[in-house]
Amino acid sequence: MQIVLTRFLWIVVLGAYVVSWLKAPEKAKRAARAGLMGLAKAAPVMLSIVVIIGLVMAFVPPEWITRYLGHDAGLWATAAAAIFGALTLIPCMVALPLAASIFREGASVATVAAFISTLTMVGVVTAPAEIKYMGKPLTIWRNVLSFLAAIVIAGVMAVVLR
Amino acid sequence: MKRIPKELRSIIMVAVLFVVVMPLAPAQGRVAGAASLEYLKEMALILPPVFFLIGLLEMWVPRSMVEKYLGRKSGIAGFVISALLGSVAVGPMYAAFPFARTLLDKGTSLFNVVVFLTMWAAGKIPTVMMEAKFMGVEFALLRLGLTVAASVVIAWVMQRLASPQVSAQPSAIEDRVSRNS
Repeated sequence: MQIVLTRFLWIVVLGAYVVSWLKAPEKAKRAARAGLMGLAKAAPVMLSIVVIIGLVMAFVPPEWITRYLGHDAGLWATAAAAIFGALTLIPCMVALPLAASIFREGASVATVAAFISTLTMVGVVTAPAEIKYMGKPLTIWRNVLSFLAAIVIAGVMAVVLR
Repeated sequence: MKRIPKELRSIIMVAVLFVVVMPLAPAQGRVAGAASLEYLKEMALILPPVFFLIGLLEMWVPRSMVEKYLGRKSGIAGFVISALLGSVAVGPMYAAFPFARTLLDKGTSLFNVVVFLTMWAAGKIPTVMMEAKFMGVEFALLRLGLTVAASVVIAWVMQRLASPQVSAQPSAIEDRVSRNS
């Protein structure tokens, strides 16, 4: 799925460059140069994220979520799921089957919703990139508010889907 | 630390961390290496088109247009466009930040940028479809609805409290000096 979408993105961007080239070659050249420069500038922070993700995946493996949260349906499990989701960066292809499996094993709606919400909305490992582009204050605000929002979302879902 | 360029400091720090971890915990070190390689591959595929697209946007999309449709006075329409832009997006969260920066620089309001980021993070359509398969349609749609609501609240709070802190960051692709056009 991700591969198909990525290919689609490449094709769209290439197509856009062809159109741009036909309309104004000079502009297309400048756009490509700017893109290359942006890529070069992004490389250090993106590479450090890659290394951090590797370390997090090794020391806080995704299997923990099934091992520790599958049976417990209490509030602590929900809090742990929220924190776990905030700290890690698991692709949806892996995370959603994981979420479904802990749900089957007895985790509450709140726990699953908190996990999916913080996993997607809060990014501790991607914070270096967010700080680089958005600045520290905005990064901290967005992540803290998103964490709180994820908890509220989990609570509402637990009540509605009971 | 002064001599090392700021850009390179973080990567040197994590590289050192990695080198320290490897001998102390070889098993985890190997897992970490393999996981990093996976993510590196993903990044190598997704980041080039993202930045080349940003390059095109910088060249072709005039600031006045962005201001009109996504700026402070864009209203409900601006909100809807931002939410849709985020939810049809392809790619992981780290690819969203350079886009968000470009949107801000072109005159998008902080409110709309935060809506865009939140929807990119938690409201992507392909993800919601997959979620419906695994967790049920009811679960997925309810979470999507709540995410839209949350994006409004988060964006509103940030617009009120953090607006003065928007400016300080350099642009996603070029240096500030050359960007006044």
